[in-house]
Amino acid sequence: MAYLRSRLLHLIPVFFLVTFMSFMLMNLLPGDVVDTILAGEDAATANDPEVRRQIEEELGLDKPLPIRYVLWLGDLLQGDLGRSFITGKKIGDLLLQRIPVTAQLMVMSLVFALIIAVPLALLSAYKSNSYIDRLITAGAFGLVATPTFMTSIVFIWLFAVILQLLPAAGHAPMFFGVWANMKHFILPMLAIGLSEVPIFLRVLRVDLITTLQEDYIALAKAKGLSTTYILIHHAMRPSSFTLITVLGLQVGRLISGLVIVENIFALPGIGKLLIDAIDARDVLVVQAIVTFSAIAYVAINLSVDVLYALLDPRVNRRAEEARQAARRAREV
Amino acid sequence: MAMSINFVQPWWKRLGIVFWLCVGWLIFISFGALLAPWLPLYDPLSTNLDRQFEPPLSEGYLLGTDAVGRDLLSRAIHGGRVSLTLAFTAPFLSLAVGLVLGLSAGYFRGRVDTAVSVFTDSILAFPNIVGVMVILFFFGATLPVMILALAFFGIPPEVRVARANTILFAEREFVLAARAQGASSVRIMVRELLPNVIVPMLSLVLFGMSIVIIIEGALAFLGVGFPPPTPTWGKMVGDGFEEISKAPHITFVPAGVMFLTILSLNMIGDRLRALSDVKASAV
Repeated sequence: MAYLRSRLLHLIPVFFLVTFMSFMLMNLLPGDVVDTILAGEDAATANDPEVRRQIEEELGLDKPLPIRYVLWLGDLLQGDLGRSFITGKKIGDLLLQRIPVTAQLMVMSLVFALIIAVPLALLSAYKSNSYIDRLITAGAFGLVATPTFMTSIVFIWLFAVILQLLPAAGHAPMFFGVWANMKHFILPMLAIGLSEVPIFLRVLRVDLITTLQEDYIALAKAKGLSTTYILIHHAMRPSSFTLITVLGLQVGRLISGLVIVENIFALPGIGKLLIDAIDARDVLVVQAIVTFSAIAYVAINLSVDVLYALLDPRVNRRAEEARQAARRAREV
Repeated sequence: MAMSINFVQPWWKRLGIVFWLCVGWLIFISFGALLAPWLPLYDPLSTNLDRQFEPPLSEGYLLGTDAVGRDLLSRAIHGGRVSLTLAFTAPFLSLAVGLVLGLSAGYFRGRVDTAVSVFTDSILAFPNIVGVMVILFFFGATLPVMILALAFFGIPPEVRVARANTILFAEREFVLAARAQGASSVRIMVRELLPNVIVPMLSLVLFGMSIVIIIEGALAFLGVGFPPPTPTWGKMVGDGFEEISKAPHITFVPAGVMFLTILSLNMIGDRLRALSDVKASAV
């Protein structure tokens, strides 16, 4: 539990700093906050004293900055993200509407990435330094150099333009049928999934190579167990820690990918909402999404830590190693 | 990447042909971008409606033309100017900040270390593309803002490497000797630790450059980067994307240039890291 406690003590200040940074986005702005909020409106609305007073009141602009932060954070923790001054809708509702699409894409992409990365990592580690290992490593290297928006374009060109198998853009809710829904998710899933593959691959490969040199693997071999059995049951299991950590730390990257892909494929998720809000200069929605994604990152990483503590009380060393390995892999 | 180093060969042969091809490509593209206004190229903005959608290798246009007859070669070379300006500034700023924070965290440990790690973890909580996008939105899409935003999100990895290496070297005899001679903390950090810590950080700068190019490309592609009509690779890919069913080359020419540049930076960074790597387990 010492591990969990130290992680918690670390994530609490991180949470406050992260929310403070998001809060300050609005307040570090050159010029008047109200002007910025009304920048997307026409002149008549923007100069209406009644509108301006209403905004000032809602944001509590008459109060000092620290008080405003505390009030804002209090509202946030109660799920009140305020109201968009452009559309008049509750921002919390807007986000809730969009979350299912984003979550579906996220889960599908991660599952796809793992289905590709785990067997390749096993193969790569088992035959390390062989021809096939080098081929896999080189492939991963190429994928890293391909930004998500480029992968998306290549897939659209290949599957929507040339082969005409899948739609290039759009979204169909589940009640139109499972296939109608899924076919709009396949290309986005491939684009995001493939950008995650090299990260998982790299971390797992190194991890597995170390594991395969352990004595208990030699013992398992001596007992005459099959290679596949050893790889899956003996070698893969300790790597699940590493995998969970990478998943947690990857959330940030994943969100960046979602923003790009949702916009290319016109999927109505949070990422699409972000760009739409930027185009409409809907300041509060932009701020809310940034805050939301940063809090999601902290929350997911906290869950990873809790999960560790539950899975294995002796986690301290292993968890820290996994964290470091994941950090390193992510830099590239 | 796995590789074996033969210590008998001269250093430049040891790095391998691929490494030098990558260096060559980067020199080519950097000087092209730097000298673009003075090179004998078409104006990247001037349209020629008689020569729309020319495929690559057509007469007078080596890489073809886009939907309004603008020369893709000229645009690809000019398009590197924004990306490369960012790539040659932001990662070095990250390096400078990361060096100061990482040295302090690794040398003083304790509270300084905690404070630095809270700061870097907070940066990591913001997805970098989203972060840069939003900063541009709030503070205006200008070059200085973009450089600072990109530099900000590049800090955490530099800190991690600087800190890890500082911890490693701080226990070595030469640091102890300096301390025994009465050297101050600042002097030890600058004179003894910095030269050892900065080498692995420099290879990280190359990865930083490729990340900067990716982020700029993605933002320009989504139309939230620099305002038009400045050609940048990402924007060219975005423009071409609208015509992808008719003339895919308009998309794939800038995409290919961008891909090769990112690949080269990663390849060089990877090689340099392999040469300057401190035992990974010590991190």
